[in-house]
Amino acid sequence: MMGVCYRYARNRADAEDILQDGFVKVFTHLDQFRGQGSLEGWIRRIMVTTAINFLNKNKMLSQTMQLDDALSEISDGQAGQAPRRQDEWMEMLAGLPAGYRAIVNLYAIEGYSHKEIGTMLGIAESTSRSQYARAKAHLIQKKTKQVEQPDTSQLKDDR
Amino acid sequence: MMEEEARNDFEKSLRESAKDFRVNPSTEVWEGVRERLHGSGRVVPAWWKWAAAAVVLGAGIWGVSRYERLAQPPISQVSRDASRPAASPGAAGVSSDQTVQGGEQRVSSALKQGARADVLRDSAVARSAAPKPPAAVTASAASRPASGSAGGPRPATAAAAQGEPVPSNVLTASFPRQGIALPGAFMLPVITASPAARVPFSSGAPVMTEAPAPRKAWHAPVVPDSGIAGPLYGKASPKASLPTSRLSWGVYLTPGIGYRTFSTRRPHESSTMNMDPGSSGSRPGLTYFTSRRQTRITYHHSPQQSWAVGARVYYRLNDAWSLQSGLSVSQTGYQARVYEASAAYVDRSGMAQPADAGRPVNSGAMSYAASAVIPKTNEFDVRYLAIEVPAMVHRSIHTRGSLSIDLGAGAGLSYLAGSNSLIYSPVSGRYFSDERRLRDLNADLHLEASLVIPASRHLHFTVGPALQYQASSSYKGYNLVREHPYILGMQLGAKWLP
Repeated sequence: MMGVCYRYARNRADAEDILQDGFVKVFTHLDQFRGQGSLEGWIRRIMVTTAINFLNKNKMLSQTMQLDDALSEISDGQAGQAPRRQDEWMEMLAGLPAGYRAIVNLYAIEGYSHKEIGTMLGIAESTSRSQYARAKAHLIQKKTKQVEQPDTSQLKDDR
Repeated sequence: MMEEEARNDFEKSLRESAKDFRVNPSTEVWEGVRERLHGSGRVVPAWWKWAAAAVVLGAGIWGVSRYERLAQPPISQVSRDASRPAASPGAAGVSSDQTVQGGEQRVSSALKQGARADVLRDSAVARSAAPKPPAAVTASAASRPASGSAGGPRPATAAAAQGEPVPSNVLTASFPRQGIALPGAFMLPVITASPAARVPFSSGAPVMTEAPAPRKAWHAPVVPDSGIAGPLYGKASPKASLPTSRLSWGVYLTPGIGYRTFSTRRPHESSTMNMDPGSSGSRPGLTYFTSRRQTRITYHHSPQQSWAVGARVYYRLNDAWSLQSGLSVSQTGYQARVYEASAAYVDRSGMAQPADAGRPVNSGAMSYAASAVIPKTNEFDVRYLAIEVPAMVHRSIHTRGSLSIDLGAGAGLSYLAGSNSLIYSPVSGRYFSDERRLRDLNADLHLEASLVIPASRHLHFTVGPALQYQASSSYKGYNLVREHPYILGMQLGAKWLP
C-alpha cells in the first residue's frame, strides 16, 4: 500500500501521511467492509481516495503549471540521470506534475474510466482524457529516449 | 517502430511496474496510526476542556462565596445570646451587630413595603415617654406574646412589658432569616423611621426604637435611610450606588494585540527533526529541518494590532455576582514570516534545482550533484473577523471608597464572518489558502479584570485587561495543525445602570 500512496505523492513524507490517514480510515471503517471482493482491493480503494483527497487538500491538483514547462524542467533536472530498471516507469511517473500523475495512475494502473476520474478529481471527462494522452505521449517518448541512450546509471553509482 | 511498440505496451508495462513497485514505510507511520486510533475515542475538543475549567472555576468561586455566607453564626445562637446580658461591653457590641445582621433580611423585606427598620433596645428609656400605639400595631403585636410565654429564655421584650429592666446592650428582638420565630425573639413589625422614636405595644409597655447607628459592620453594611432595597449580604458596595433594577447594559472597546498559539502534530517526523516544532505553542524564530525534504524552515510570528467592540446586558444576581451576555465584533490578526532554505543541486547547465522538484529526493540526484540552497521568504498577514455572543460570569470585589474591581470569566460562540487566513501545512512545508478548511463556528474563552469607576449613580466606567482566546482551532478537519488566535488588550467600557 505504501507503493500505491507513493505513486500519487510528491515524496516519501507525503506518501507516509497518505498511508497513515488511509489506515486510520481502514481501521475506523472496517465494519463497513462487507466481504464483497478482496480486502486488499477495498483497502486499495481507500488509499487511492485518501491520496486524491490529500492532493486536493494541498492544492496539488489545481496547479496551473503547463505540462510542457513542467516536463522540460524535469527533463533538464534529470538530464544524464537514468532511472533504475526495476522502477523506471515509477521514476518517470514521479516526474510528472501531480495532476497528470494522478490521472495516469487512476486510468492506466487502477483502471478507472475517464468519466470516473473526472468525477473524482473535479475535472471534465475530456480534460482527463486529453491530459492522459499528453502524459502518456511524454512518458513513451522519454522511455524511447532512454532505450536509445546507453545506460550510465552504473557509471554514476561507481563515482 | 520502437515508439509504436512502446505505446502498445504502455498500460501493460506500467501496470506491471506498479505491481512490482514496493516501498516500505517507516515505523513511525504505524506508531502514528496506533496513536490516532487509540486516542480517537477519547479525544475531547480543547475548547471543551477550557469551558469545563471555566465552569468549575466559576462554580468554585461561587461556592466559596456561599460558604462564607453560610458560615455566619446561626440565628438561633444569636438570639439566645441576645436574651442574656453580655459579659462585657465589647462582647455586647458583637452580639448587637450579629443580631442586627440576623434581622436585616427581614428589614429588607420591610423596607420594600415602604416601612423602616429599627431595632428595639432599651425598654427603660422607652417606658419614659410612650405614645398610644396605633391600632394596626396593637393587633400585630397582640398575636405574638405566646411565643415568649411558651417557655425557654424569657424574651427581653416581655420583660420590658412587665416593667423589668432590660440591659441596654441586649437586643430585645431579632428577625429570623426565614421568618421562623425563634425562642426569645419576636418578629416585630417595623413602624417608625425616626431614630429614638418609641414603639408602643398593646400591652402598654412602650419600647424604644433605635435607628441603626454607625458601627463596625461584622458582615453587612448598615441599612441607610435612603429607602433603597437590595440584597444585604456579601461585601456589598455602598447602598447609594446600588441600582434598583437588576438589568443594566454597557458598551466596550478593547484595543490590543492579536496573536495566536500554534502547534503542529507530526509524530512520525518528529524524530527526524533537529527540533520538534509542535510540542508547544507558537515559537517565534523557530527553526527546524525536515530531513526528507531537505528544507530548513524558519518562522517569525509577530503580533498585529487587533480589536474587539461590543455591547452587553448585565443581569445582577446580587451585589457580588452578575451574568453578562451580548454581542461583539472582533478582529484578530498576526503576521507570519516564513523563511525557507531548500536544499538544491546544481544541474549541468549551472542552475540550482530544488532537490525534491517533481521527484523523490532519494532518486540519486543528490549523490553526484553539487549542493546549493534556494532561499525563499514569504510574509503573511492573517486576519479574522468574527461576531460573537459571549456569556460571562462576573464577580465584584469592592474596595475602599466608591471604586471596585470586577473579575469576569466566561465563554462565547463566535461566527467567522471573514478572513484571509493562510494555513500552514507541515506536510508540504508551505502555506496554502483554503477557506473551506476554516471553522465557521468557534468557541472562545474570556478573562477580564476591570476597575469600576462610578461617574454617577447611573454611569460607571470600566478599564482593565481583557483576554479573548479562541479555544477551538481555526482549522476544520485538519488535525495536523492547531491554531488558536487571541486578543490581549485593554478593555474600556461604560455601563449604564437604570
